Amino acid sequence: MARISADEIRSVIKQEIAQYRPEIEVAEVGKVLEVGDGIARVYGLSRAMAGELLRFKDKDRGPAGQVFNLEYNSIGAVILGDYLDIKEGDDVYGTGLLLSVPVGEALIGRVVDPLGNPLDGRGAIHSPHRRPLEFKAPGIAERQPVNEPLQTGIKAIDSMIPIGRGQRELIIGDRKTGKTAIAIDTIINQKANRGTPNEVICVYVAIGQKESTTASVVEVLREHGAMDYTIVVVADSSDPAPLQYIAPYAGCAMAEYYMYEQGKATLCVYDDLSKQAAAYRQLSLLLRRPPGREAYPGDVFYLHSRLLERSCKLAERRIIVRKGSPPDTKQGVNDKVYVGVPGLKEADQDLGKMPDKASYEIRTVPGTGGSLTALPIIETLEGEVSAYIPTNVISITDGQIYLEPDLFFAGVRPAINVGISVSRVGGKAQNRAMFGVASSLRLDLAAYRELEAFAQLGTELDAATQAQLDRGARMVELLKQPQYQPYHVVDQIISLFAGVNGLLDDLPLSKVQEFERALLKHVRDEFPEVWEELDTKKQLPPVKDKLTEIITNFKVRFAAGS
Amino acid sequence: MPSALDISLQAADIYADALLELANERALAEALFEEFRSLVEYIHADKEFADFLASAAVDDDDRRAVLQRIFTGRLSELLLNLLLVLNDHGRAGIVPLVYERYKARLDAQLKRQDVFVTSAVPLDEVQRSEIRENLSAMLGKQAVLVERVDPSLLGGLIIKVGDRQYDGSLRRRVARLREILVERGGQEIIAGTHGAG
Repeated sequence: MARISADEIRSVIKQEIAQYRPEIEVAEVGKVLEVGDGIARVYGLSRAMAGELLRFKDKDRGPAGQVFNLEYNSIGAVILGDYLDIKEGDDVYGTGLLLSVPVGEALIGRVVDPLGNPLDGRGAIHSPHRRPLEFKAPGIAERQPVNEPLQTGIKAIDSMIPIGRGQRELIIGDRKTGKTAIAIDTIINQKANRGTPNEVICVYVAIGQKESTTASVVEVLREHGAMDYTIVVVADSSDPAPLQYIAPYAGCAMAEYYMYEQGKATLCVYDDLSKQAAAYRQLSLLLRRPPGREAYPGDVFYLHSRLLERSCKLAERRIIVRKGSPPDTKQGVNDKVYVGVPGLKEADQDLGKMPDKASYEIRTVPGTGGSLTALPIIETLEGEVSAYIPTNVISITDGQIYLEPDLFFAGVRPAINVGISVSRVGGKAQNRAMFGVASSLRLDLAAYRELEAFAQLGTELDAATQAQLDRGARMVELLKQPQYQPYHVVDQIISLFAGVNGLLDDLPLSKVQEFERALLKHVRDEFPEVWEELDTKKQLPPVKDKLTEIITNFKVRFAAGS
Repeated sequence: MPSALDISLQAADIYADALLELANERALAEALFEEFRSLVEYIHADKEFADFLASAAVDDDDRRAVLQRIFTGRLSELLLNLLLVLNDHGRAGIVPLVYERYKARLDAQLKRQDVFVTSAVPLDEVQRSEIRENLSAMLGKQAVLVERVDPSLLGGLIIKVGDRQYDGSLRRRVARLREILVERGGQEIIAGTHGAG
């Protein structure tokens, strides 16, 4: 238990009294003129800045507010907290600070509100670090193209819509189509990287959702051990609109700490941005900003673009060091730092020119090359993707995953429409072995969709067409995946390899999933060397024949067993 | 988009400017201020009269007749005219705002400033003049003390000049001390559990 002795308290007080000087605290103050709906109009505070943090009633402890509108004689401020306590005539204190949140290790595994206050009943959060809520996105020079995959553990995504670390991939679909499930599976899948240099710190931001939904998400994450590397930021539908509005920025700031300060990979899920836009619309209308399309204010595009632009892959800084020098070496032997992709080439050349190049190596400086991958979620109404907010976010992100209710109810889960889902940059970062199987997968599925309509007419089909249909149906079956069961990328490659090479064509459709599970276990148990080789070398050709043989042989055993 | 309140304030500024210019021409600025203050005090005291001025339910012509009947002979010509002009423009409700802006302008003209002093116990004459002198020197203007007594300060003073508040109260110091103690306590608890684990 805590050891706070009376002596200690006495000594602190003694010290304070000894050092007591008649200090005078200077503060800017104003008065609340009107208050309501989370908005306050404040008189005075003539020196207030746009975006400044305000405190109502008490200079240090009172409810926080943020300056939104600077008008001729008053200030429009949003109240971040309980606005029912604030009355007309209350004092408002300017702080001269911008809004910031606590960040750092203390937040891992915690459930917090957008101001960093704990919501999980596990005690106060003491963190020495804070970061501003609004932070300028890194510029061109600080970035580099994505070059590492972010494995979601979902076969359909990792194969055909690969996501790179630092990418922004939108998850879009109607209500109840499994949008959150994809994000949660992705977070759970990062467990495999826990403790390795490949570690991904995850932040899940729940905006405007039912409290019960959020509670169950947290429970699922905890059950699967994902809270060990995850921060959950919650602004529920019962929270005031201002908190819902700032929640994604708060989550982003918490992830940025790991990206900038520790060079780690991070993942931010914003679930969902349509509710955040609605909260922002509410604020803007109450502050009498002019409404535009769908009554959203004019800057609703900027609302999302400035948030998503903060996701990035920071350029790696490399140095040339003598082999065996300590891992925290920050200075290269030639005092040069090579930045990003062009830097890597230059470093290679410089290393090649060195007289005894065998005793030197190129290393990434620790703490550089962090990334922030964003998975924003948008909920559409009746599949309407051409509404205002969906089109905005589609245009900002580097690709989107479409989820469709028709597929969902047909039992294709995850209900991803692979025809119109894209990833614009992730392909570069994709595992090469996966790339090999995925390209023919796309073609198979495209051909299948084209023929599917014909097949329903019940016309006589020639053998080739029938074969294509059978293949497609098996691939669709293979891409089905239960919730909370992310697949390791090697497992994904093996099962897709079997599918695209026609090794499943002679299996009954209903047996495909069962066969897949048994096959993966078989390979892991009896041919770990093949599995390892795929995992480390990430190349398909060397193991192709061996893998075909394993699967063919196993099929015989499977048929005999069933 | 400016709020209704801001529009009223802008309008009040314009009326106050005009009024002060006229008053200065007639060398009546201070006398008018005193008269204006008693009028506004009356408006604040009599809710019904304030409603009568501000309400859109009262016809402007009716209100004009009533104002003339009440105030002719009781108010100076300038102030009565102000009331009637405001009424004709449908802005009779902003009279208190015009007063605030007029006061701000007159204070600037006379180089004086209201200073709000809150103390735990009533100030005596020596303290009062000391504060007034110090503040006047600091502001470069004549400080006009507006005093308030609030025993919850425990001791010391809070002085407010414009938007700026100088808090030298004992209440504040005690609150800070409490914060320091709580914070150290919290750190102790963390250190304690870490040690045990």
